[in-house]
Amino acid sequence: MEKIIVEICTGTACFVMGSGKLLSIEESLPANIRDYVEVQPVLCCGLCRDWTNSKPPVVSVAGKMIAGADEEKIIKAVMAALEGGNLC
Amino acid sequence: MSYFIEVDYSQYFKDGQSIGGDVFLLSRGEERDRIICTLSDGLGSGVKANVLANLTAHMAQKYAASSIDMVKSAEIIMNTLPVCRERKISYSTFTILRMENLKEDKVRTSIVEYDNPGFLLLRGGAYVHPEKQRQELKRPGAFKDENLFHTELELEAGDRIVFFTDGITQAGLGTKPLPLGWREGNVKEYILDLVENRPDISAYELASAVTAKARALDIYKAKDDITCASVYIRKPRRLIVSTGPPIDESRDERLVAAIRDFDGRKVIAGGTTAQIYSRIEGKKLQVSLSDFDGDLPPCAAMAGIDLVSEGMLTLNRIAEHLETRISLHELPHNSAGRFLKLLLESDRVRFLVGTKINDAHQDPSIPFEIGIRRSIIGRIIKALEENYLKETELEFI
Ligand code: FES
Repeated sequence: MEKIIVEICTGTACFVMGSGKLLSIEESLPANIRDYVEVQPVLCCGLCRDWTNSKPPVVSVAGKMIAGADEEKIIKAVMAALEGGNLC
Repeated sequence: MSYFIEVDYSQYFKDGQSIGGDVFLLSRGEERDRIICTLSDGLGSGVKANVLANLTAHMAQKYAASSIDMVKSAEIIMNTLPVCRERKISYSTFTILRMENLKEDKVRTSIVEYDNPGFLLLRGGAYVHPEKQRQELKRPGAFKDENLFHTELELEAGDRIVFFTDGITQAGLGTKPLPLGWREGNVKEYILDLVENRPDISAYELASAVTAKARALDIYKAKDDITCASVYIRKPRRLIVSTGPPIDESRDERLVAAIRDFDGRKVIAGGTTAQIYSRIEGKKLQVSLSDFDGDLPPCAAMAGIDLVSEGMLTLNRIAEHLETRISLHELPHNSAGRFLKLLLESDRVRFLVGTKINDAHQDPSIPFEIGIRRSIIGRIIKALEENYLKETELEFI
């Protein structure tokens, strides 16, 4: 089963807005889905320049961009992706 | 080819004394074309010894900088020193070292020694024993034979000179394992081992290792002032720090070429700059959490670049650390620590600063004050030059 990739931007704007704390999101995931998730730190993709539509921190879960990301939003997106993949 | 010459020293005062009878002075010519240093050990310890040694060292520095012959200057110094009433001697030992013509590929060096343990010359991992000219001083009332030793040398890259006071050779004197003290032969062996294990050891680290060992032999209560000075001649270590994208894209290639063709170590500070390099050079760029401590953004790895870090936050932190004179031993274990290590291990640092304004940082709602790139780099340069005596270059692109 392919893992759900969670890409977390570690660029200046995203980091200042809290992406550093999101890097340890794996620890906050429920144990039963932790193994299906892989966190990857990435560089600024430029999205932070558009605050109206992509407020930092910017995170992408299985290719879907989340602006103004926080733990809750990421976990939700992970769950949705897992369901989409008929995992549970 | 112009060499870089490291000169440094390390010192402990005799236990319980807050002032030392060993004095080390160093001066560099304005053009960085001449270095003069003197190590002097005044009779006794404490204030009197300090005055003697200081007088000697200051005179030595002055004379060695003038056109007067080094031996002649040494004689003048000897005759000028005040005479100790009890022992009828004016006494302060010294080693004066003068290095010149630093721009050629040989460094012309004169050394004059009076009664300090002889200097050591290390070349290619072994001691070399250059011929010393002995000069007898005939001072009226001298209590013993007084000999000056004068050595003329041509130093080359890799050469090291180490000299010290008798607090080193006599360390441990009277202790069970070393009734006669550490002694020159053992000191030499210790230094040789140090250099063998760490061929790139800096002048400062070498001198500190020697004084630390001597103090340990004195069971951590130095019985005399302990001073070791060391000189290391080497090719300059160069570093380029590229930060920020060029003002317009047409200059991207130039930026990349400047980094790629640089002869030395390389740092890219800034994600956008790193991505430009990665795209044009076709090199993979991968963020790595190995030095991540949650405090500063993580570094990335890219072939051919020694360190890829985030830009503004990291540079800001670097400036703060340099302004408080952080030393190599205190570096944090994060991207700033790795960055600082590269800076402190370099002699010449070239900053290549992109002048494009990064729109993300212009957003007024970003809740912190971010100094503009130029002013942060300005602070780093000032601190590197003033606090660490590094040479720097600055280019805007
Ligand atoms: S810093 Fe995260 S998208 Fe730019």
